[in-house]
Amino acid sequence: VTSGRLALVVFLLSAAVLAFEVLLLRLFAIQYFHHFAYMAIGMAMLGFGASGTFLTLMRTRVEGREVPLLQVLAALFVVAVLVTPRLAQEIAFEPTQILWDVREARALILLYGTLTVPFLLGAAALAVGLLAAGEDGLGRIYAASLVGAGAGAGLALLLLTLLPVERALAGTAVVAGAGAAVALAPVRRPAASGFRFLYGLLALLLPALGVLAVVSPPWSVNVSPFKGLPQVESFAGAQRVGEASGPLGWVVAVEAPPFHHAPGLSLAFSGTLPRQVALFLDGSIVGAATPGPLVGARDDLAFLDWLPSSIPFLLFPPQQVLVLGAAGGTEVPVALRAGAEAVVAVELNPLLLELQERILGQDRNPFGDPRVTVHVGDARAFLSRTPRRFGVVTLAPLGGFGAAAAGVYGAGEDYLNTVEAYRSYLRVLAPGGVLAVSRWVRNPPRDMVKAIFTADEALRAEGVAEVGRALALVRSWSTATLLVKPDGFEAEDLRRLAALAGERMFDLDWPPPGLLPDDVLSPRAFHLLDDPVFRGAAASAAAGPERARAFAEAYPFNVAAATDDRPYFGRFLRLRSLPVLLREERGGWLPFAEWGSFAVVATLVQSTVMALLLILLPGLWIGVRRIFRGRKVQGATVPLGSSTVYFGAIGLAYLLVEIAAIQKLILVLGHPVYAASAVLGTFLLLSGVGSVASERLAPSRVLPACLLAAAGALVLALILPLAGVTMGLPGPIRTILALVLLAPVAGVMGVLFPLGVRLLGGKSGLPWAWAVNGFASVVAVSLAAFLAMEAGSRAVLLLGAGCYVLAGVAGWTALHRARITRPLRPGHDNCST
Amino acid sequence: MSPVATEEAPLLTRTLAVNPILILVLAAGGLSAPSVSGPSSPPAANAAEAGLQELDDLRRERLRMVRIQILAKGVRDPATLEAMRTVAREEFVLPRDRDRAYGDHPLAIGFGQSISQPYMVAYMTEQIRPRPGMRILEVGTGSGYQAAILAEAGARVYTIEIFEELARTADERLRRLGYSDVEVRHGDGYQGWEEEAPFDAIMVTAAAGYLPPPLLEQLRVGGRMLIPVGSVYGVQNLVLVEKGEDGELTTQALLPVRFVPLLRGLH
Repeated sequence: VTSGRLALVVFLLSAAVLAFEVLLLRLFAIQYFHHFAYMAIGMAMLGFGASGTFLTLMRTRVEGREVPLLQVLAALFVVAVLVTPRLAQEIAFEPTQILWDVREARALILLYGTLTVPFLLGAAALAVGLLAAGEDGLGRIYAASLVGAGAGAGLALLLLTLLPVERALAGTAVVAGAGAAVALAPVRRPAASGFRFLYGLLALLLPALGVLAVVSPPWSVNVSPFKGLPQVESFAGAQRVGEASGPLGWVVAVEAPPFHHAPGLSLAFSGTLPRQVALFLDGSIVGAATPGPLVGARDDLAFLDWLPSSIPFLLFPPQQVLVLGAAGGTEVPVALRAGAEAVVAVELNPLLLELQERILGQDRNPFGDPRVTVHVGDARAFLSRTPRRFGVVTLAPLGGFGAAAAGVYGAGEDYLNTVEAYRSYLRVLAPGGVLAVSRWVRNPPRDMVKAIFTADEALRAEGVAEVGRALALVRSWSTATLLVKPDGFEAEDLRRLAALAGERMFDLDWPPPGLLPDDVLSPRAFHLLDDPVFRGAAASAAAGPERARAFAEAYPFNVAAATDDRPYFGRFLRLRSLPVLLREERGGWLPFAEWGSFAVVATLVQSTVMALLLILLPGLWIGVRRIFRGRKVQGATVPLGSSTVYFGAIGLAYLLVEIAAIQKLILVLGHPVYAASAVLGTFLLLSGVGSVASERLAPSRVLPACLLAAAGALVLALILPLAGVTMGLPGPIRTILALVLLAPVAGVMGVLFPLGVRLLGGKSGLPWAWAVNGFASVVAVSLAAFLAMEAGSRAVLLLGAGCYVLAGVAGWTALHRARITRPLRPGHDNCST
Repeated sequence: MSPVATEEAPLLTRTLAVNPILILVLAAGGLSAPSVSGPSSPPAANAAEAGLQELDDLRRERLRMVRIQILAKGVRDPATLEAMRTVAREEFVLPRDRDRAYGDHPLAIGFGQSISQPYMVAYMTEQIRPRPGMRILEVGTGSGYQAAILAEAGARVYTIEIFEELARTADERLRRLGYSDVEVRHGDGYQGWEEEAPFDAIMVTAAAGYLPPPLLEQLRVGGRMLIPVGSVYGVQNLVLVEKGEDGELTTQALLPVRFVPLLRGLH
């Protein structure tokens, strides 16, 4: 096999492995809830690690047979990609029940076991490809695998743009099949002709099977019955009226007579609700399309005036309105009904807007009204560039009222609900303008308390001294709306607000103090809470930052303002509360459970345990055997200790830095999918370049190389948190700036693996390096997510830098020992035998 | 998975079920956890004897559930407690969950719906205060367990279920078990049950954050409406609506008493 052909095989297989991982992530996000999507990363990393362990154990049998083994593994990888998703579909797994049903835990393990197989085979094929390259060509073949992985990230996005997720997943089999075909295609092979025929046949058959699977996928998407879509579709008379999919998700519109969407509707409302079309993103409800026309007296739209989120429009009949997260919400039609002159609707997901227009038609779609300008894109970017000023700015819960319901966003980054974000909303307000933030009311209260403190800090940062005068809170039995008016409410505003709220049976939890006597404001309370938490939170905000901090500190949940460094608005559970909650029986903490936080901790523990069992223990067994039998591991001088520390540290560091970069660039690029593909692509491509360059570097340079990588991570720790300042620049320039910043760091990081292999055991040490690196990567994925929530992404980057320093020390120690036994020639290693 | 019938089993099971991490660790380690204090299955001489033995075991489980999960956690209403002791919960769960029917957790019953955990059912029943002769409307029949509890306490129950299959099976089940005071209807519940209105109490599952106006009208003056806001964990929020003698509505977010010390503990 020529090195060019080997590189092509490794490139294609690597692209297929990564695309399979990304598409599995999408599939899980749709089938289950999105935090379970992390499973796909765990499966991939476990496969990589286990493949290394397997090859370490089988080393003597592999040696000299790399090429035929590569062919077999490549073919098996294609088969696994085609078969395992179908098998996985047979495993009835319902993650929402895992807390109390041990059968689900077993199903999860089974699912893990099944879907790790393709990764195991793919990664083993890649590792054997590296072995086949020999030490001199290692850097180039490693580069081919990295560049292939980068291309795979792009391929996944392309497939998602062109095909629905189940067919996109099958698309990876075509690429894997092409890789296997290149590996199998007979070229002057000295093998028996029977084998040549078989290999030739397989080379044709495998990609063809992939194409067949794209045309008619052997699996389907099974959405959890606990998600909104299957429930609404089971209603009598329900009909799916529209559907679209793309990289930003799978959107579905369902018309069902019993379905209504009116979050927080006043109990005083006595009219009827109109027919609405339910909108779902990845199977979870995000809201509804409410058909117009809005002109004329349409009685069945009167309900819009009876929602807490409509209060700002009724209180300040506005000229200019900005609606953030517009699709599926009621704000645009309400603003139009209230007589707004111009409405700017910002929506990140164009699919939702297109679907709404398609199902309602131009005439009945509120977004088609000539007064509405739709801006597709990220709200933060729009805000930092717009010269316009608005009388009312509204912010719907992330993903709409529907998605925010179950606390499923606990683990996701939310850059629209941070102090920095709220400041950007306040800055585009016209004089006398008001910002409105609506949330569900939960018991015990969490979301709105955090919104109050986030608004409080934003107001102070914008120089508003009298925070108490700038806030007002109205609440129905199920939702609440916070009004923020930096210029301060006037007595007349408050009189009208009290009248509107009273008529609608909404409580005025925080009327700006000192403007009107209490009895004028609240003749009676409509919706009682055990504890007047909202009033207490607003009062402490009004009393100054210290009182606000003390209130948040004493509260049982995390309600302190979210910031861009820790953009986890949806996370309320505190680490220190966990032991108390876990000591209680289920019934005690169930209502407070936030899946996101639990999923991250559980994934961390579980991935570590599984990785230990499958990756590290076999390795330790080798070490123990070596000690007891007094033998070197299969005749090679592999410094097992240094190798474990070195590859463990660089494996941890690589993913810590990569994930922190993704978390930060979500802000710059506007969506996790864009951030993940841009960062993955850049890291893999540039690391590929770095690994080619590593061939020119003497292994003795391991310490400076590691320190350079550590310095790179430190620079990112200093600069990435400032990413927000670039928001005023056009999108492409922001993207290029971000990638230019990442590129050199990624390049240096790519040097370390091949350099380390040459330093620590060469070809003999490669499988163990692959295994330890895989293990560390499994742990790093959950560790990064967990640490980012607890300490912020800067801490993640600092830990990454620390790991690089540790790797440098481990490398240097190994080098030092090797020098004692025999001097190293510059430019070439001779650590292996 | 071998059923373990010792007194230690429930504690271990409880610990396991409380702690998802522990479950994952154990499961990853290849250990299987014991079932929820399931009945032991001794080789019985004949099937009938085994059946009787099972019924007896389940009854003991039920009494134990009331003692440990409900009475000990503050539910005091005698009618509620008696109903919880009487209704055979195992009849309302999926066959595969029969031996887990008395566990301290909700159970899935299909269509993304759950039967609430026993404590939650008892707490909600206590809030409704069912008494003989009361007329109660339930929107969201599910398995029919809540309706059976209310009927057992002497109320006449009108219950509406949006999923046809659930409505049909709940109706069959309630008839088979002899709950003639429960009427099941398949429908969306928006219009309530006008011909039987007004009701002394209404229970309505409201995941969408709004209450259909006709339901509020069908609540008798002085009546109580309970809104369990559902989620994948079963009931997550509980709101009580009271219609005062003057017809004025007031709502109250209920925080079951047993949660209060827990929250204090977090301070």
